[in-house]
Amino acid sequence: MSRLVPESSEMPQDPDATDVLIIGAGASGAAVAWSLARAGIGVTCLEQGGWLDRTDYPHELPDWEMHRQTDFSNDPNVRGRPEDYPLNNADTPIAPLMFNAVGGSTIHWAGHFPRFRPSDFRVRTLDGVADDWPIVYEDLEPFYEENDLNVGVAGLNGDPANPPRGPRPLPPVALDPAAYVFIDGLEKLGWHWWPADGALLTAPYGDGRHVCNRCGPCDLGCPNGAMSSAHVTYWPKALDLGARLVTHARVREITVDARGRASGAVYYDRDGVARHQAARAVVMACNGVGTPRLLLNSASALFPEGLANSSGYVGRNLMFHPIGFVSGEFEEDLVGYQGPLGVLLQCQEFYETDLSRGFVRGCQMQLHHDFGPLTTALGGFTAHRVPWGADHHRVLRKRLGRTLSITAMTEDLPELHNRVTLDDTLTDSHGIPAPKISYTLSDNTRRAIDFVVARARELLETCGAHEVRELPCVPESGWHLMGTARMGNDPETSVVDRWGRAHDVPNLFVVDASLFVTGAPVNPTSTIQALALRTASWIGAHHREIAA
Amino acid sequence: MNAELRFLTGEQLRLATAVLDVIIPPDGERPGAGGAGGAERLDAILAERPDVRRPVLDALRAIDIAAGPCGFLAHDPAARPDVLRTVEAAQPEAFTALVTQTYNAHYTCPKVRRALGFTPENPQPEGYTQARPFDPALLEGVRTRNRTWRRV
Repeated sequence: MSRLVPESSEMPQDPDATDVLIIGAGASGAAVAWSLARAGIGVTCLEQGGWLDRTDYPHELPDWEMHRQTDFSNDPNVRGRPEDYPLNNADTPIAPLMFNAVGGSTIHWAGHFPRFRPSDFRVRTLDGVADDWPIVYEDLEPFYEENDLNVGVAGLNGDPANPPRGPRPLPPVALDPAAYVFIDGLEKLGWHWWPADGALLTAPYGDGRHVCNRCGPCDLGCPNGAMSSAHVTYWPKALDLGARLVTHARVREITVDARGRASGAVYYDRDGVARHQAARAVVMACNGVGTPRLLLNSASALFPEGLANSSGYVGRNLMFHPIGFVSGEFEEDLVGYQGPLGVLLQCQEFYETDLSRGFVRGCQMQLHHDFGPLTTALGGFTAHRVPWGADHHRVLRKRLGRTLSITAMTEDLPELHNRVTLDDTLTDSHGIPAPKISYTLSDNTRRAIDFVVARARELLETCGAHEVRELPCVPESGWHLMGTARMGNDPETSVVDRWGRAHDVPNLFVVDASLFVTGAPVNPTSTIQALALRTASWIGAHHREIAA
Repeated sequence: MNAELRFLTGEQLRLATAVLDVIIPPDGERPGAGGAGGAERLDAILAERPDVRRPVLDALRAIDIAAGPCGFLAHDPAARPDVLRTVEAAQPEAFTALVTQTYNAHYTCPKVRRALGFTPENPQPEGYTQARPFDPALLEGVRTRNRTWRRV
């Protein structure tokens, strides 16, 4: 390979080889850092972004809503912060979304925190599609429990739609007018509903964090630390335990030694100087786009197709959670902009496969709050703008505070042609090749979206909405990036084993959603962190063997 | 040129004020977007966001031209919406950008937000008062239904 910078051996070397080098300080990297540091294992984490301070958030500014279009956009191509890397999205109807900072995309999330169900790990056996995971729900259960306690999960036990589980440490989100409207409709239809599990504080829990004060725009981050983002849950504890976190450190490649073992990473520090951090093991925690990008960028003489890519599966099987948004207008003022944006109620009536619906696998409805005046005027969830001109004020008054919305989310199945590759010309600000996304929506997923969007409309109409608007298949909805370095028992059809360890590189691990075999129809962060804790537990038990 | 302006000229500001009052017109006794200071905030937005300058200026220029040789400011106020509709049809992308930035300018104005009942105007630091604690009795019906998750 041609080298734009010196070989890693000629670069400034960070002082000591670390036991474990983690790339990425988001949901999974933070959980691994805490777990390993607690076990007394040396941890260094390289994160391309920095820390966000309370004053960095826009919530106290008069133009706070406008920041959704600029520096707090979910889309890195729109946001364009120095720590972001560009993506070529020309060949995908869904744009990957992410945030680059300590805490990663949990800075920018709604905190909706369901677990996968047992059936989600047995998709091939039960439904004859995709593949089974090499693990089962029960393998993850203790780590789900541990994670719930660490991050602070609000919810309620007894849901007949999910397996029995330990009690949530916090009570569910409070009832407000929006909740009562939804509950009325759900009960009339006889559909399942349950208070949504939320990664946010509904009661005091942990130092330095505040109880949610229902301000609304969780998607812009939480300046109070009420939202259980990784920078306020795992990182303070990990740092107290001795973990080392290097911010504004953009990794160019994972290095390997002559035996083909990971030896560390080359990264650019905040001054743009290329440095090498040596390590006895490397953990990839860069999300479902960043991890395959880095593995592909780490091609070498020993690994010409990219690191850990003898299967050719690195970057393949990209899954999103394709969604539709459905919004309903109501006569009464529901102050719909008050309360956590994405954590209210969930409906899992259509979660499991029923082939009479015309598709395999399932979907979920996330019932939630709405937006403030500017975002409402710009069309809210469904992008139907309030018209300009004489009718403007009448329509705005009809919608503002009187709108409730549903995220209609479907499971997406893995397909080899949906993938992350390296763009031929596009690079980030350090000249590192950027990812190119190639993705098509399958017929099965399209039918699932049509079905669940229609059910969401039915629910809102039953709730009493006098006008319902839809946005099927939302373009800016690639929050969940999964499947691009998947786990499996067969090295020919998977990248990592059941512990997240690369088949090709015995001291290289993947802990983000890249390793998902399938994606379930629900938000993945609870499962991401449970898997990360499970892998960290295994590394902790085997670190001498791994380092040998 | 108005010394306080950061991007627009005084002439562009006057034009923008009139155009914004058509996009978001007065509402009873409340002024429209132009009268509420939206053009001045639009100036600030354009100063800070080079990415939206071109389409917004293109739309303003097209509106002024479409109004005829005397320009938009001399146009009959009752007929001004027709001028905007003409430009909306001819240059939808630029016109949409102008509408977006008009909404941005108008709905980030503290006075406007107060008038809409937003107290506080910003979500933090006050937030909103807590709602009622969740009542588990509401779930009695759901709890009695059969298990819907599949054992494997």
